[in-house]
Amino acid sequence: MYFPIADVTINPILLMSVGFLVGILGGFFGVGGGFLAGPMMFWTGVPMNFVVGTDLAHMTGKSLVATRRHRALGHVDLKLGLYMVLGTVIGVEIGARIIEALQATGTIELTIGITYIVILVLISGFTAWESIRAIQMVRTDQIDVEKAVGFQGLARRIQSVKIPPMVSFPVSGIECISLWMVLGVGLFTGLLAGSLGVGGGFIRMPLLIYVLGIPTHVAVGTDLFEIVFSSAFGTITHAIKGNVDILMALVMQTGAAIGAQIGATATRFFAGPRIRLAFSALPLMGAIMVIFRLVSGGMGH
Amino acid sequence: MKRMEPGILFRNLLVEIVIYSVLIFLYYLLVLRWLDDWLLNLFQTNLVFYGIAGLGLIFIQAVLLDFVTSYLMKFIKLDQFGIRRILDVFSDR
Repeated sequence: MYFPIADVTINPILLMSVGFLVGILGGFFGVGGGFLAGPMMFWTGVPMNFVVGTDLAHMTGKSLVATRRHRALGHVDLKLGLYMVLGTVIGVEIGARIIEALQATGTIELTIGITYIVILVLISGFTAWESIRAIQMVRTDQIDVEKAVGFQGLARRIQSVKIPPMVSFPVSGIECISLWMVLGVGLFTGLLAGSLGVGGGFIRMPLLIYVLGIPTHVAVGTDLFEIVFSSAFGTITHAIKGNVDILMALVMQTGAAIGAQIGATATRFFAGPRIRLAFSALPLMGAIMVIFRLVSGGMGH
Repeated sequence: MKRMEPGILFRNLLVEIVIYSVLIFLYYLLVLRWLDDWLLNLFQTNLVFYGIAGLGLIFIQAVLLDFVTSYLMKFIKLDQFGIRRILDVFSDR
């Protein structure tokens, strides 16, 4: 199929398959999957500038589908999501300015590449360690699998900070937490997302669970809700710069719609710690891809 | 819910994929090929409107596809023997 805007001919089944795979990841783990979809699109022959913009566009639709599905299951905390969007938008803007500064010094590829690898490996290792601990807790202590989190100390400390205004999130089971903590998490994830050029779900999801103490299923749904806003913003920005092939995004999204449905449904059948253990492999895969690209000629080439 | 053999479940998943493939093929023929020229024209003349229209198309398609998928799951009873049953077989609770 010929895509006149990107001026490339690509088999639509390949694009649909990429969408399908990333759709499952999005629906199941609550991540946009940009750190995996980008290299896959590049591999199919999409020019790099269109990879970035088109990936964001297809992510918007896919996240909307997955968010609707998770909302129907009661897995989206709208209030928490809207508060976090405020912090995320500011963070994305700061991140974009950091990128500009790094671009000016000519060290962007190495700096961002190494930051990416360090963060992804840390997230992967920590999530795997925590989820294995939680699974052991379920087995030995016979506790409810929904409440099993092997690392709760930080969330308890964060919730005990009493800097007004204090807010509650009944959907997430949080009675009282400082708004600044919620905005801070949004700002931090937005900053990383803006400077790494991704949706940021793979960073936001662990922070929601371990720092704010949000149940895994709600963290997945709420993260997707945030991705709808951040990727829609990114789509418009990149479209204005001529980096989006909407037709390509529409094709990818047909596969993603089915994948997201399957992924979201799957969360009903797997317990929280097992979702997190499976999730821990994803950042590691992303890190390996970044290492491969750095070694084979640098990111963005 | 009575569990089914994994072989039968995977066969049913293939049936679902065939149904989706036919629907998507029809969608390509009836909708996407007609958008080519219009989107290219917008891209060359007004990038702001192109971005907004593109986002609108993405949202509309997402909602419609979600509706179609849900319809297949609920009303054609695919949810009783397809992917959900496969997940049930491999689930841990």
